[in-house]
Amino acid sequence: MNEKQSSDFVLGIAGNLVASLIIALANILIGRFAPNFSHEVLDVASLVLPLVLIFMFLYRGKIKQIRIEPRLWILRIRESITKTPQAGQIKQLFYGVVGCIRQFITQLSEIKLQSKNWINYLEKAIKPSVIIVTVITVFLIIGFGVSIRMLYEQRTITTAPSVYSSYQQIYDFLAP
Amino acid sequence: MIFSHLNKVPSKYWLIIWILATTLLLFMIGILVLNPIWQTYGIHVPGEPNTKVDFTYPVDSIFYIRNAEFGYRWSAKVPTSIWFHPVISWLIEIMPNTIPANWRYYFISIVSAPFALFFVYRYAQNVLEVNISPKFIPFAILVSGGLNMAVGNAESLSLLFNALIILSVLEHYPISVSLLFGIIAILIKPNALYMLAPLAVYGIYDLIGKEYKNALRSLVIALGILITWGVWILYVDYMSGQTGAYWQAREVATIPLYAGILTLIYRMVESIALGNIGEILKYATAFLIPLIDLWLVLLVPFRNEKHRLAIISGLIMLLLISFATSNPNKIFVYAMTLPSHLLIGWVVLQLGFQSLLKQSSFSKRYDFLAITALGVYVLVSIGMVVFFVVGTPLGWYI
Repeated sequence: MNEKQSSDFVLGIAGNLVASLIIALANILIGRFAPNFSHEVLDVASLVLPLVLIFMFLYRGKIKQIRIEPRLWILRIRESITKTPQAGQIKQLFYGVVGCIRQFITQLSEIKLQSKNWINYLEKAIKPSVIIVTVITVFLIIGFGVSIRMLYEQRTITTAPSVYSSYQQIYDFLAP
Repeated sequence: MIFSHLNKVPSKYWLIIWILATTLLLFMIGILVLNPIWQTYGIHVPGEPNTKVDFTYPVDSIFYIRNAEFGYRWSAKVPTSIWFHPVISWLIEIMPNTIPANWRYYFISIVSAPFALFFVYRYAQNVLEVNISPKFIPFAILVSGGLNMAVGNAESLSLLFNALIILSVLEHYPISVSLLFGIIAILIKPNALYMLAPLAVYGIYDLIGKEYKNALRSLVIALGILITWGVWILYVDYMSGQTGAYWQAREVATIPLYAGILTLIYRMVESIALGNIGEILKYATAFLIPLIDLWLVLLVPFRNEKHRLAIISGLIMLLLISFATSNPNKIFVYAMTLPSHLLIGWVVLQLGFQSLLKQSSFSKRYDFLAITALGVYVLVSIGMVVFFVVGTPLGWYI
């Protein structure tokens, strides 16, 4: 009995397919709207953007827990400053800002602990066959993205020599 | 009355009955459906303006027949002769001359079909965790490229021997017999090369599992395929009186040979931009068929993960050869020379129907996936049937 549940594979392939689609789309869009950048910049940019999105998706549970409340932070700093004698207010302001930043960084650092959901996903979905199929899918999708971008950059479409467009034509051309 | 007799048929005979019924169905479809439709086109076979397309020799089949009738024309300048490997032409030659050559060719195809179906079914029994019902054998016609078995073709015989190669490893046939299957397979069509990757996967698994004799079997078959191919290449070069004649002939049909890893994809994008329907469909099917198989194979319940990896490796070989030659031609029917292509189709259809009728023992999530896969597969298959019927005489995929 094979312990691997077939449905587990689908989680892996679906997640990776979405990722590669986003990468290809980003590659096309960035190439379309920023055609003057060098290829390296375009490719890195189009890879980084989806990676950020994928990162946010994977750690969404932790990210949701981050509380970004600038009004509260300012209020807390203002309160601490007003309660302090004038001579120590700058110092207090500095401590207040540092405290808020430290709190934010602490929250961010906690993100490195992946959600249980993701660990479960990893255990279930990431298997050699899924990785291989994903690599092929990603290669094809990125290949299409890059090809579309290359076509945009060229602006013109060069037609293939007619004799090579199909076997039918080759046969008619060559056969006795 | 008939049904009451059928109920008495022992279950072991149902496999044979369904295979024969499928063959009969293929024969009827070829004669009663495809031939009349294709004759209305009034299109000639490649290279011969006076020979109209017939269901007994569509696409490039005419060249197997001409090689049998007139012999090989040994020259790189006549690639339409030396492109083709010899077994099918030999078989046509040894059959009685009183039968027209195109009907001898068709006979080879239609006789190969039931044997191929039988051995692919047996392969499925060896590797799957579920039993495929023989009732699903006729659905081979729906599998993309499956309708090709209804007409004269070289792919059915190639499928038969490719299935035998895999079965040699799975059922531990004598090494000499296994080697013979490999040699015949490569002499039928170069499609036997697709089997190298699954053989490598099984060989590695057997080495790790210390089943050295079976690992040796895989190695011997793979070497048999490669050495025979090499000998045939040298023979073609020798007979043509020119070193490299075999490859020079193939370069003509390649677009262009080894042009670059992304060339095939770029050409597809270009074809879409140009809007040539035939070209778009040719490229789309060349990419979609292996890709859909790769995704669906993740849904198939196997007895062991090595079978899944072996199938994936075979599909990768199919893609790699297309990419290496930048050539999407005939992938639509070449996929049918992979035993796994048919197996995946049967499993997806059976599991989908079982889930639809709530007869499966899988989880709800799996049922949902199986039904979704079934829906997509059926839609794609219907599209592929139309593509085959319309596209074959028009040369859309060649």
